[in-house]
Amino acid sequence: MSRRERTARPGVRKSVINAVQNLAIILLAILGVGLSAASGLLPVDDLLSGLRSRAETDETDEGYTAAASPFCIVITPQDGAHCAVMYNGAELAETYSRFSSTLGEALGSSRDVAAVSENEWRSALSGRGVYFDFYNDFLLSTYSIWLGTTMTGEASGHTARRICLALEDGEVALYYVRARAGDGQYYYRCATALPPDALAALLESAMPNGAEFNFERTESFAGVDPYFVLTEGTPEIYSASSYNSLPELGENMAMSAFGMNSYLAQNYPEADGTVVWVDGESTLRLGTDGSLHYSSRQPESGEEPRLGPAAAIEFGRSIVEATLGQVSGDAELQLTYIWFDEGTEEEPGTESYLLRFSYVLNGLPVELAGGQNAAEIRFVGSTVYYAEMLFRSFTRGNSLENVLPSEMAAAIAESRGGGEPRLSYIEEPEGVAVNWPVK
Amino acid sequence: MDTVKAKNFIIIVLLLMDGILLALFAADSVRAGTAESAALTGAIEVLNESGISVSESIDFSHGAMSVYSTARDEQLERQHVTALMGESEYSDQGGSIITYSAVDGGGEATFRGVGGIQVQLMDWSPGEDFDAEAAAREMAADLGIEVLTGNGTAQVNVNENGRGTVVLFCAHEGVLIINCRLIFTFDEPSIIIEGTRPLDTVVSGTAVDVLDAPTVLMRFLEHIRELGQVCSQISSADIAYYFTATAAGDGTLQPVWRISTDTGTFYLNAVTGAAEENIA
Repeated sequence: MSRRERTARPGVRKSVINAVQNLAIILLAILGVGLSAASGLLPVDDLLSGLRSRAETDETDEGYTAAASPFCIVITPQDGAHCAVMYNGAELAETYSRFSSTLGEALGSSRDVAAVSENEWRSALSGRGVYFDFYNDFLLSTYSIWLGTTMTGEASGHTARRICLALEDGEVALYYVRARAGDGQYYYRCATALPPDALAALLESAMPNGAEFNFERTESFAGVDPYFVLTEGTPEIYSASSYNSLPELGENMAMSAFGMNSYLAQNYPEADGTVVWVDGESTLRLGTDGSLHYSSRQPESGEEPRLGPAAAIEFGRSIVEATLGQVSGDAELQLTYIWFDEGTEEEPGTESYLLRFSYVLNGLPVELAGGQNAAEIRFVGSTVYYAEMLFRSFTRGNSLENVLPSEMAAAIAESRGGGEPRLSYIEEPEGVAVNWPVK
Repeated sequence: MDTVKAKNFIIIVLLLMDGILLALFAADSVRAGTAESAALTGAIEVLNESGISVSESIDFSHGAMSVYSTARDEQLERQHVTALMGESEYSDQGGSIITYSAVDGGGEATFRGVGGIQVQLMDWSPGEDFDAEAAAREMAADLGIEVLTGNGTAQVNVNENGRGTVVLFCAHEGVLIINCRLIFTFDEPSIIIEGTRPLDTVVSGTAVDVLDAPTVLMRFLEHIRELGQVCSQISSADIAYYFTATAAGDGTLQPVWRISTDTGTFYLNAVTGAAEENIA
């Protein structure tokens, strides 16, 4: 062996020992971390869930969230035998979740729209199927987008609050009432590609509970909405309370929702306690009664890209959710009105959307004092130039309210000239009451 | 040399530390096992006092569970349809409902975004030594749908002429999906396939901690008391998946506990314990 080989061999041996020691240290360290995690000494679960939630928030949801849901669902498993789901938020949500995808499929596959008579509409309501009443009119195409499908064809541009899926002659037909029709044709029917077995299977689980439409009664209540649903017994409605929740949101969050810079905005108080914030052309007034008024310059023609109805609703809903929705307590916000102002020939650039939202508590609409909306927003493109909000947090109580049965409410409405009784929470100076205001 | 000694020291320290951690882990595991066993015994006793016996043959153990997101893949769907009935013409009905018609007139299929499927195959005859279950499983495989395998995992009701029905139960990684099944109706000259599939691809899976057996039993007791229902024996309890989907073709597989009693079957969300009702 040469001297070179003799000096090289201890060097190689040393390298090998070094490598083995390094490997051992690494493996033992990894084993130690693993055993620490398994023993709960290391909060690995919290770390992983934190990483997971961060990854989930990074994945943007490009779908639209429904801004409204039905206040009344009537399931008819057999001709003339109805099961009405109303006046209970949890039951409405559960029932709608069962039928919503079917409604989406029916809307998305609807075709051959044709006007029908009121008798045909009533026949559809009385026959096997399911009926939805959203209390407010929306575009059928908007409903379908909320439910994950798209709708094409003539019916997509129609608005409706009352929709019925009817099983007839081996197919599923879509019926709706187009209340805003200006030509006197209010009732429409579309064929759909929804397999009848799919709807029939959902209907089977419903047990009739004695509900009936006003028009189905032997002696209907004259003048009362013919599609008012009369339920058996007395609705079980829990008490509720409310308070001004604007302080809970805070001024900074309110300004941020409308794109105002809270660092640069100047403020001053008014005599009645209202605080006014000004940031450039934007003004935000926060009242002591929970009111919020925002105003800014209305964008000029061409400044903002025009939004489609579904995108506009999603935009408005997101603003309301970021403000009122954060501090509404047990109540939720629902869209009640949408209007698109196409502008005039003199002012073609004034295209703007007007959206109104209301509070809903446990499946009942909430009426605020003076008939005020929870929120009214006007915007062009994605720029809000006017907003009015009333901040309230509602809490559902544990005691049951004394509520008139629906039959008595209908009788009272009849005696006063008719209309549509609508069981609602009503905010009054003394508190939150439950009653049947007539629409 | 000093480096070597230093590393040796580190290795010895790590060995000691890992030894202590291993002992801790072992002690914890034994303690947890004992506690779980005691909790299960206690839960069974509470049920017994409420007049409900729990079958001793029930095995509450289960593998790791996840909540899966599934999605429709129309390209994959077309491949499966082709595998089943050959080349077909595609027709989008809207509402995520797609119809396939075999070019040779041999069949028609409708696939829905919520998972529903209806297929009719024409010009079929059973032939000699026809095995309905095997034929059904082959068709399920053509459709790319995983079903439970093994003895007793299919409901076969076919006469000697080859007419009748076979029901196969969909599964994911060997775990039953309670509301997804395929019903094959053999009625010469046609075969009809109806049912629900959990969509085509798994997009993501999130591991979840499911409720342990004692908690599930107590939730079950609470649930039947709320319903005002009566039962005297729990004959089986296992974990399965429950499938839901939107019309857009986005699905979810959610773990549920399936509890079979002498008066019916009950389902509890395996993560929250909430009752899952109206499961077909």
